[in-house]
Amino acid sequence: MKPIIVVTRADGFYAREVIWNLARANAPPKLVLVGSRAEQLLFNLRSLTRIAGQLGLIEVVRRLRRTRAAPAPASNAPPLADQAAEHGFSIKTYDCINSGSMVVDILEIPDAVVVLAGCGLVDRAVIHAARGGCVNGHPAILPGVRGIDVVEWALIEGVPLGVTAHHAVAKVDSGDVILTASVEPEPTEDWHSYNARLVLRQAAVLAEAAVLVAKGVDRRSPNPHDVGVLRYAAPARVHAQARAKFEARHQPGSR
Amino acid sequence: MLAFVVESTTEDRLSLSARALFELGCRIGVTFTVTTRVDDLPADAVIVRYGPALEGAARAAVNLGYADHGSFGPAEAGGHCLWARVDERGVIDIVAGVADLISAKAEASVPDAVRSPYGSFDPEHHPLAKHKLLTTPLVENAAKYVSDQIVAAGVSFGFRSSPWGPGKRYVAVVTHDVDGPYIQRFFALARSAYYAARWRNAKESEALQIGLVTRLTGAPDPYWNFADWVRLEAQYGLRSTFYVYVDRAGGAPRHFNDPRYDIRKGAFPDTLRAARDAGAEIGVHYGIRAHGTEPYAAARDEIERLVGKGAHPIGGRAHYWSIDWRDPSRSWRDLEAAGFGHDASLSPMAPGFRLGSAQPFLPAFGRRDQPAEGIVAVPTSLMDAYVTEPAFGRTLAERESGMYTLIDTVRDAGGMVVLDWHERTLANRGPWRGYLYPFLRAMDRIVPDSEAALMTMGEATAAWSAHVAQIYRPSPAAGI
Repeated sequence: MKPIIVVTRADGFYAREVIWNLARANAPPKLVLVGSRAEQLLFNLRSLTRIAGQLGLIEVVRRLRRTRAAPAPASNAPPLADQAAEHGFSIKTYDCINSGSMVVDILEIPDAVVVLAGCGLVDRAVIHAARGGCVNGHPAILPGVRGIDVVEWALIEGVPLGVTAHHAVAKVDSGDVILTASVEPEPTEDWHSYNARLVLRQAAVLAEAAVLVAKGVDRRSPNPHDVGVLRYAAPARVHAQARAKFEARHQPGSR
Repeated sequence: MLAFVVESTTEDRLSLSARALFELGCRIGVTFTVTTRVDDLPADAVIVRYGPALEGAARAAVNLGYADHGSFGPAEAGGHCLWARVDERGVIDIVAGVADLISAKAEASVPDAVRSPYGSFDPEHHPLAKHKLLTTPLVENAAKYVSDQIVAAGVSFGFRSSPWGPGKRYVAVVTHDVDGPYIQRFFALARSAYYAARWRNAKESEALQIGLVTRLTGAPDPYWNFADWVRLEAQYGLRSTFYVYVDRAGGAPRHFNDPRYDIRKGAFPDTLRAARDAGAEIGVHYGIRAHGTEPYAAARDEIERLVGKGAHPIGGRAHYWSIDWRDPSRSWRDLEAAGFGHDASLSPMAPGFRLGSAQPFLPAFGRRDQPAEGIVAVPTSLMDAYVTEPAFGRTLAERESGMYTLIDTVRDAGGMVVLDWHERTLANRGPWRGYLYPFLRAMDRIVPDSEAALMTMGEATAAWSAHVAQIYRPSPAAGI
């Protein structure tokens, strides 16, 4: 089986879950690349700058408020350091995503499968260095809604909800699909619980796909770039509409 | 032995023609000499004659076309694309063509108005670019043409020396100009801030963010990539050459665009020593106004003081390719006098060969009995920005394809693929976003090729010198 490298912006809920799932499948990573404090700041700066450019400063403020109001999802997965101690993998920090230093770290593990566990956009060099394959998780069904805030956009568009693991290519959410899973809201579930469950499922599907790629038994289905739609950051109005639609459809007693 | 017998009408032309024939001989790869005297040659010498006179023509195996007049330009002969002087009778003079290229006289038509103070000009003004010949190894094609003529005359060559080692057709050399290894420094931040604000440049804005954030969080400078280059290159089994700027070497004045660092200070001495210990070479990146024997020698002394002498004589490359473009041989003379073993400043500022050659030159011909003991002038055919930055509306795939074609061209010509990826581009962010991927793609093409030799610049130029020393027999003939 090919070695696995996980790249994540921070020691957060999603990365812990991905690694925990990999370990449970007897495929713990050989190396985890974690963004340093500098990278976390830079990531936030990039995101906010992009949103400011697309939607304006007021939307940036609204997004910050929304993010702060969201409860932290509960996870059974231990912190990365504990998992590293248990499964014997290395943790290295990186200061800038896509930097040559990170690319060398990847190249130094021959034929590695790189798992993108919430690190933002990677460029061609990182994908190229991932000689064993580069796998990403996406919180929507592909081909379909690509980009960000895709749960909200999928609700607005009325398409099935779910998650996808796919090969990463140089275009956003456009590589061949490895696995998809439907994740429809349950009748008793509120918005935050649903989102937490979606992320848990995304982590599990990503880990499962990574193991398939590492074993060389993954099946690919096409994910044409011209099918579906690329969505950018949703304004507060779209968030509100999506949430209203979710609550109208899925809240207890609403049917 | 192959004997190039040159006769000419003027002393200047004799000297240029002899030099052209010498470079052709180096490329043919069998024992050869260049002389004006047929009588001194051994009886079994295969004579290739070039000149206007009729004497000796009968004894020659090959008489190369000689044109007294006519214009220079592309010519087709024997299936080869050549640069030649063609006269009104249709005589194709390839020796004059090679002399025109290697002396840079082919560029004399470029007007001063489009030249920088040291004579450089944008690639669209290059006479070879106007004929779409910038990526054609015209000198090597001329050598193949002469070689074909000799074979057609019934001569069998037998063993031909390969400069790059047994089984190797060409050599790849990775180099790094060290222009700006800091983004956290005040000047670099201010410059990025200026470009970001003045031109709304998103990449410079990103550089500013990266510089500020990494500085404030105590992270290492993302542009300081010496150790990571060494690590990356180790993955490909190669070692590279770093060209570093020596500030005010020998009292030379600074140019505003010169790099802003001092290798005598900070982490530089230890870093350069570590790179050297890991197998890299350290050379000089001469400043734009730091030309002449004295600044060159002072820069060499400074580097050798900091990191010690290397296995090969030190070499260099000019910042902004700023050697004397009108007369490069003048710069090479000064460099040689300052103890330099090579100069890699030959680039048309686009992918390709500024003087029409994929192989090195030995400018000491005519000055030294054995030119191989002098400086080696090396064409740098691929620079990071040439492949990474969108030019003339070409897509990344088209630029990458162009890079591969160029590598294949050098391979076929038995030349040197010299890659210049600036040290800071390994950051792969800010203005250097996307610069790493083409480098990895170039490595994919070159490294698995069993016919590619991977060398440092010092090793490659030493190999070329050894090749020439092995096959060239100096002639005592006057005038050469």
